[in-house]
Amino acid sequence: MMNQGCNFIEVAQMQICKRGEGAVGDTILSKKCQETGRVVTVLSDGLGSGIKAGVLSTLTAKMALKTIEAGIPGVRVAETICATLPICSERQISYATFTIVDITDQNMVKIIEYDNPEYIHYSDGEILNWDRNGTEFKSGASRRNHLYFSNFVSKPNDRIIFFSDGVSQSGLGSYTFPLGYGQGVEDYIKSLINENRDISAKSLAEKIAAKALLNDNNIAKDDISCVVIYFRKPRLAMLVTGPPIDPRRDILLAKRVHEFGGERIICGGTTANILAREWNTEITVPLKNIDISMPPMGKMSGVDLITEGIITLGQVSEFLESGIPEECHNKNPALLIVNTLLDRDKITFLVGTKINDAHQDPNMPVELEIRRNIVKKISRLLKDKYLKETELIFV
Amino acid sequence: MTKVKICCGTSCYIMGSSDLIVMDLSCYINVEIEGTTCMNLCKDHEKRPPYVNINGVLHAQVTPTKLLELIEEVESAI
Repeated sequence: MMNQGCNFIEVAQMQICKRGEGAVGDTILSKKCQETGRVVTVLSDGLGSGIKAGVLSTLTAKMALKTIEAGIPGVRVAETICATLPICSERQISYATFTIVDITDQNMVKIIEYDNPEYIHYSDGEILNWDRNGTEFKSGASRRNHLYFSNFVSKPNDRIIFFSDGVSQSGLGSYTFPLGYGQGVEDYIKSLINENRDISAKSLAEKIAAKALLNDNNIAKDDISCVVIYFRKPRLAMLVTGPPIDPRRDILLAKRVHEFGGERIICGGTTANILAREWNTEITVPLKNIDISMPPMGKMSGVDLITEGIITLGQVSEFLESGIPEECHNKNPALLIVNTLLDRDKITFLVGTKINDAHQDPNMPVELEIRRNIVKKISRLLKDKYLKETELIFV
Repeated sequence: MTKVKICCGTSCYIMGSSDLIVMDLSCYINVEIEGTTCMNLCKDHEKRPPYVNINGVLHAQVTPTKLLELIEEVESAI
């Protein structure tokens, strides 16, 4: 999720269901606004466990997300949720906790907490403790009526970590953690990031949840949910395909690709030839150990992948749309492109618009699609289905 | 050493070079086979793809049989 401050916001979660329950009672929702880059993430823990808790937390998380997005103040959000939740037939109260993390442009972070364990803000090897301003609100049948607000600006490489009490209370009653994991989680997070400074949000969330499960002796006593938000540089890729409409622009194309700071993929022999000529280097096309169902790949220094153009792109689009078939060769060029693209956060397509006359020849045994259309389709799939940020540049 | 370069551009590939790149030519110990990106000859309507370059000489409309013949020819001339 790209934010205006040129930072990328990676949001990842991990959930483990309480032993014996068929469904998780905690809910995590996250949404970003494509236009503004605002990212809202909610974690809610419903009263009890299983389906009933799941219903309460789903309602809470959904309402919180929608109302915060709409700009409704936190206290009203909390009151609306408490007034709306169904009342538990056994306990006669309606109750679900929540943590709302609202990140607007310039990496301004606003957090609203209601009864979940306190969030952790990791920055530069330290856990920062921000002032939490408490406010009371009308909570209906429940006596728990304190909301806590905190605001701060995050820096690159910061992480915000929050979780349900399934993490902070894991190990409760055990010899190692008689009072639960508690503050132990902070030290664990520090040690994990110390070990690997670039640990992804996904990996960190998974490790924290796994640790909580281990504290519970591998039998989760409560739902374990953990969310990690990581402010990092986006991982970039550029896919170059097609010669520029005017050969005088070849030099600009070569410069642009050369200056790009990410993975470089070239689809199309002519395009690769232009770059090789401009960079004064050579392309080789080895024919050993290749996937014979597809045109072979080339090799050139300064480029991560070189493939044929339109047939390969057609297959990339098919793989993105319908998934990768089991029998797919592991050297399939389209598969290698798909893997690279899905590993990146932002993909720039540099598309030459020159039409290849040879492809328009009616003697061709197969119909070849126009490059522009297929690239547009790939870009749309990456954006809508895989939530990637994409950019199309026609040259 | 005989150097065989098979064009693997889109036009050549779908017009038959896909059959050429899978040929087992290991019996010709003096022949080195490799692919090449589009040689930009597909717009030449006089000749037709797929194109193969053998020791600098260009051949058009190369089929597997024709490729074997061409290699035999070059090899016997040495």
